[in-house]
Amino acid sequence: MTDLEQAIRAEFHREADTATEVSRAQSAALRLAIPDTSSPRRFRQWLLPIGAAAAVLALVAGLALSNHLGGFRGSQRNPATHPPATPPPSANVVLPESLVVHDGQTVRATGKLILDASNRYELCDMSGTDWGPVPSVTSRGQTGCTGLVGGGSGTGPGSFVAVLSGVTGTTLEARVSSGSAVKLGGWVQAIGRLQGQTIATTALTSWTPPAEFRRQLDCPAPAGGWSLPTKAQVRAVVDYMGSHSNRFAGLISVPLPGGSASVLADGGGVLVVGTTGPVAQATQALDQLAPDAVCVIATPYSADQLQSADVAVQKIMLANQSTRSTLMGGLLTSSDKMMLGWQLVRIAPATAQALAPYANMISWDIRLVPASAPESWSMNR
Amino acid sequence: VGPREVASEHFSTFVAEHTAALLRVATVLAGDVSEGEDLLQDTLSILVTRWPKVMAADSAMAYVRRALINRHISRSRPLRVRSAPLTELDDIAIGEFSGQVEDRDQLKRALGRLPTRQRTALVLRYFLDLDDTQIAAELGCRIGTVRSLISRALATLRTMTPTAADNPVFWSAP
Repeated sequence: MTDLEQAIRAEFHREADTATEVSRAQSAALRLAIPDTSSPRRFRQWLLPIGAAAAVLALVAGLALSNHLGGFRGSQRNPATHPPATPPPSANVVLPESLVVHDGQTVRATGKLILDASNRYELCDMSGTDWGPVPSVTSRGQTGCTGLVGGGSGTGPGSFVAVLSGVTGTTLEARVSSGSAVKLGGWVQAIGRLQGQTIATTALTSWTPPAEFRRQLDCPAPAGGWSLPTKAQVRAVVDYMGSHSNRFAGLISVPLPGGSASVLADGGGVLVVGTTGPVAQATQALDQLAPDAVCVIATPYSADQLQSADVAVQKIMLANQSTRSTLMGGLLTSSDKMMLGWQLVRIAPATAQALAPYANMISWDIRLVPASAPESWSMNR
Repeated sequence: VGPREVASEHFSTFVAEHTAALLRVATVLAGDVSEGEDLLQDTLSILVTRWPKVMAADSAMAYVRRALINRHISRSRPLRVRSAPLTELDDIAIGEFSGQVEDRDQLKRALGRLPTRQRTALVLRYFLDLDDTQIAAELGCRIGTVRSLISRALATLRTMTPTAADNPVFWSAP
C-alpha cells in the first residue's frame, strides 16, 4: 500500500471516529418506526419509546409545549361549546419559507446560555428550566443539555444545542460592563452564521421568553399530592391510550411547579392527557395505571381530527429525523385550531417540504431562524 | 403479534445495534458527519417501509449497507454536473501547506471533490477493506470498472495534493 493509500485510509477512519463521537453524543437522535398511517394505534405504539423516555424528556417537553397551550384549559372546557376546528389538511396553506434554515445562513437563535465541560459556550434549548430556579451551573451531558434545576438535574435528549463560537468569557464580561448583561444560565439571543450545530456568533444579547412559556397545570392536585410516574406507569398509560386511540389526544409530561428536587431530578412530572370522551371516566381508568400522576383534560376535537393530526405528526417526525431538526413533546390540541405540540428548533428544507400539507395544523415555535425572518417566529401565537 | 409488529421490533433492534457502525460508513461515504447522518436517516426512512424485505435478506446489515451506498450515489447524482467554482479550485492549487493539519485538510477537500462513485470505491477499498470483487458487487459494476474508478481517484488525488504527496510525515499512517 502506498503512502497516499495509507493517508486515505487514515482520513476515512478519522471521519468515522468523528461520527462515533457524534453518535455517542446524540444517542437518541436516530429513531424511526414502521409507518402505518391507517392506524393511529400503530403510531401510539411508535410513541412507546417516547413514553419510556418521558421521565427524561419531562423537563424539556413540559414547557417546550406550554406555549402551544396558551388558550387550552381543557378541564374546564365543554366540548359542546367548542366546535371542532376545520379538519386538516387544507390546500390553502402558507409555508413559512422565510423560516427555513440552511447551513451557511445567518441565523437568530434563542436559548439558555451554558458553558460546557470544554469551556465552550453553548445555546441550549431547555425551556423547562423555568420551572425551577435559574440554574447556577449548567453543563452539557452526553445526550443534550443538562442543567441543575431546583436542586436536581434534568437532561433532555435530543434537545437543541448550538455551539456559540466566538463567545468567550472576555466578551461576556464586556457585555456585563456595558450594561447589557448576558447571564450564564439565562435566556439569550445569538445572531451568527450557522454551520451544522455551530453558530459563528456576531451578536449576543439577553432575551426574555414569552409569558406563555410558564405553563400552569390544569388539574387540581390530588389529596395526597402528585406522584412521580415510573417508566412502567408511563408505558402503561401510553399502551392504554394506544388501545383507545379514538378517545385520547396525545400525552405530555409537565413538571410540577414548585415540585420537589427529587421529582425534578428524575425529570418526571404530571402526565397530561387529552381525551375526546368524559374526563372523569378517562381519569378513573388512567389513575389506576399511574395513581396521582395523570391529569386528564378534555379536547374539543373529534377522533377523526386527532387521527389526522397523528398522521401529520408522523410525517413531521420522519421528515425531522432525516434533517436533524429537533422536535419534542406530544400531540395536543388548542382552543382555536388543530395544534401539534411539537417544538421545532429549526425548519430544514426537507422538513418544510414534508410539512407543507399540514402547515395550517401546526403551531410553530422555532428557536433557530434566519436572521432575516420576522422578529416573532412563533406563528399562530 | 402481527407481521408489522415483528418488523417494527426487528427494525428497532437493528437500529439500536447497528446505528453506530452504519453512521461511520455513512459519514465516510458522505465525507461529513452531518451529511452522513442525513444519508443514514434518509436510507433508513426508505427501508423502514419495506423492512420485511430486509429481514428476509441473508444479512440485514449487508442489505442496509448496500442500500446506504446506493442511496449515497443516487443522492449525489445532481452534483455530478455541478461545476466547481474557480476560486475553490484555486484554493486547492495554491493553498498554504504549512503543516500536517493543512495537508490533511487538503486531502479531505480533495476527497470531497472526487466524483461520487470514485470516492465510494475508495471508501469500500480503504475503509471497509473490500476487494475488487466485493466492491464490484456493492456498486453493481464490473471488476474492471472498480479498478478504473480507484486508479483514476488516486491519480486525481495525487494531482490535487502535490505538496502533501511529497510530505513523508503526512503520508505515514497514524
